[in-house]
Amino acid sequence: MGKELLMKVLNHEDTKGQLPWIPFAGVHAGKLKGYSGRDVLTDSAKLIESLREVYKLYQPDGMPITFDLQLEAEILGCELMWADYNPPSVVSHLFDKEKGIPCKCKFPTPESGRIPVVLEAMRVMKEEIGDKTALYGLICGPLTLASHLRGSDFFKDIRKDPDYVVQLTSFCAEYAQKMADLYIDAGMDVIAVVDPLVSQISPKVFANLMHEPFKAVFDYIRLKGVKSSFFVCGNASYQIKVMCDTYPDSMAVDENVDMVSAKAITDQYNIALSGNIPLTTTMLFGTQQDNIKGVLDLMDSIDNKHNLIISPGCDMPYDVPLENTAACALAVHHPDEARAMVVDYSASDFDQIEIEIPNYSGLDKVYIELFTLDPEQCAACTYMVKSVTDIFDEIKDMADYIVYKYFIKEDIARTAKMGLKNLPTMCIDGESVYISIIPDGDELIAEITKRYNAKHNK
Amino acid sequence: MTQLILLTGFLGTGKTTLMERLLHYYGDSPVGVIVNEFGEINIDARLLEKDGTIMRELSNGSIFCSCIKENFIKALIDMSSPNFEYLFIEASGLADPGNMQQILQTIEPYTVHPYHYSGSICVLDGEAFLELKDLLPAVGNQLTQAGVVLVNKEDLISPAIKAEIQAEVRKANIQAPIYFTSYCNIDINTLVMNLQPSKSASLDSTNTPENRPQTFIIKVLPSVTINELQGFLNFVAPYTYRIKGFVTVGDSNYSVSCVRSHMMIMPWPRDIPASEIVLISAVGIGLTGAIADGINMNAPKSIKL
Repeated sequence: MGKELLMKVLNHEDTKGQLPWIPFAGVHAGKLKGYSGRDVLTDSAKLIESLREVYKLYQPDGMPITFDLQLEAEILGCELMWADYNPPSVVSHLFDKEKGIPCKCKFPTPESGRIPVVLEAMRVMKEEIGDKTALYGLICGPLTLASHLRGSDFFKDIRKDPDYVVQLTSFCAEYAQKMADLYIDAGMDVIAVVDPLVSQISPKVFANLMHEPFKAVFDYIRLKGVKSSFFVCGNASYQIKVMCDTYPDSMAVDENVDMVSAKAITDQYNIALSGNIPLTTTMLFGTQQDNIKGVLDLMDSIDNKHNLIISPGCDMPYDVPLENTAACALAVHHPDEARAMVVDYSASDFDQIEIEIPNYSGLDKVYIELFTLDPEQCAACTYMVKSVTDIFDEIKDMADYIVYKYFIKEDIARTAKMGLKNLPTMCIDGESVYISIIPDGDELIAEITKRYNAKHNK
Repeated sequence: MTQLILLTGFLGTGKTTLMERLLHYYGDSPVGVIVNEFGEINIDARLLEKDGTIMRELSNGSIFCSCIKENFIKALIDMSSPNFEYLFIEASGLADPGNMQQILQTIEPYTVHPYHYSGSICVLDGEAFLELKDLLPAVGNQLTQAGVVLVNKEDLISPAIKAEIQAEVRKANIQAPIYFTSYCNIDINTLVMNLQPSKSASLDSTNTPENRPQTFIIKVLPSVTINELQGFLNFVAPYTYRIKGFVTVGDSNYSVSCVRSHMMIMPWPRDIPASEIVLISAVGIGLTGAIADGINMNAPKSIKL
């Protein structure tokens, strides 16, 4: 157990079936000491107190210091909206009106923005627990940072102005290298490049436009002598191979990705895979037994335990009960004892909640349903919702829309009833049209117009 | 009144060699020097260190770019106090001096002793010029803003190439005298006497913080061998505009200089501040991968980022 075990996995060594465990306690760390998400992301003393609690309660083999993909964008001039129980979200974009590249004089320094808060926590935790647990410094990936800077038009740029996309993501990759420098100097063992939006572009686009910036970041981290991880959220099943081609030491995926299939690919590259305890249905709303059973089922489903790490799928929701996370830790570290606790236990589900599905054909307007994990905190979900709100003035006479959130029980039940496997997904008149792909404005207007005209026999 | 002379020219053309010759020639006169390096470490300042010369180093960008222009202005004002006979400024190889005369107008009210701008000497690499001339706007502007053009490395070019260079330079700059040399070996008095400010209109410099090429600093451990170092440099050089620095190999110090495929590793008789090499990328962020591969293939234990 502990750092040694995790580092063995990251070095691709044999651990004789023992698996490491990393609780991705971002703002959730604050809950353990009664602090808000904003408290722990802006106050190093509160963050340190909370991280001590994570270490004590969850017995991690590795743990992140913070999980905040907005820190870099804020330094570069984007405005954030803060929430008490979530990380902040980006609400204004530097280049949404006019394309641009930020000045390199804005590369991060130890004094930039909220970096001093993070560095202080890194230094203290390194000193206190750095030889017992591997510490993760999380940085925003080049694609997500580029989207924060440019806004939702970035997805249009991918199609219409790839040269600009290359320039902006190159800047963001260089920025990520500088962030890695700061966190490595503060003693981080692993630098995780977190890029939820990778799941929202096609593998071909990734290979053509994103391979170089991501590979440059992972090469750089390796040259600096520490380990790397590539975190992605959403349905990245089709992107796993192109992500592997950028050669991180490890990769983390959420519940949208089938671990068995993903591991078959990562094994070919000798890259460690981390995942993917369901964040909401199991960790947030499940019982302790659900969590134990979930982790055991996950471990049992994967034959090859080499290069495997057990973790939540992504940043844990603030309100995850601590006993659920502790149950996950127990199941990973002591699977035999945990197995005895859930003999004959069947997991709870959301089937009993009654859900009414709209009569789509009877509606006058086209009905857009946005099924999201969290429209504010999940970057992919934010940009999918924005793809509708940005053009809504142009389609409001033809369409209505609604946003569902996977942290509300009724919305979880609705997602299940619709048969959706991946979030975010945009359904139009009950049909899954955009699954983990963010449409650009022109494309969406054309789709809505076509459907509206069909409805009215035009 | 201080005569102000600017040295421009792309990376690796021979500006520092020319500066050495200028400092040697004016050795008995009161002269000041400003050395501008694009990378974070000022290698050229080390090369030019000389007792009695007052030198100011401006690193990590072009002096004509807003990133360090403020420091350049302060340095010019400071260097106006001693009443030098000459102030020589060696610009970074990526510098675009289009706004030099604007800068001098800006500082005029603040200088202690006035400057007289004698003009800029643009040093060209005769062997590489035809290949590089359209590479970056800064290279073209160095030429159009020149008061004298010195085509260096004459020994490496044929008469036909020489004629072609002559024609290209004339296209860009109809007034500046053109001299062909090797190792910047030219009569300094003739060079300086024929120097005059360019009559080309002042322009905004194309040096901006946004378009700065990426630079990397590589640390070289004394355990490296010359063969390993050469292997690494040979591998990464095609991905760079310029590589330079000082290294310790075993017990000995060396200066390192690469321009395209030309590599020089020369014994360095003095102490060095650190065994480090600066690489200026010609391929943006992609140089990271080349450095990683170059290290892995040649010196995985002795060269670090």
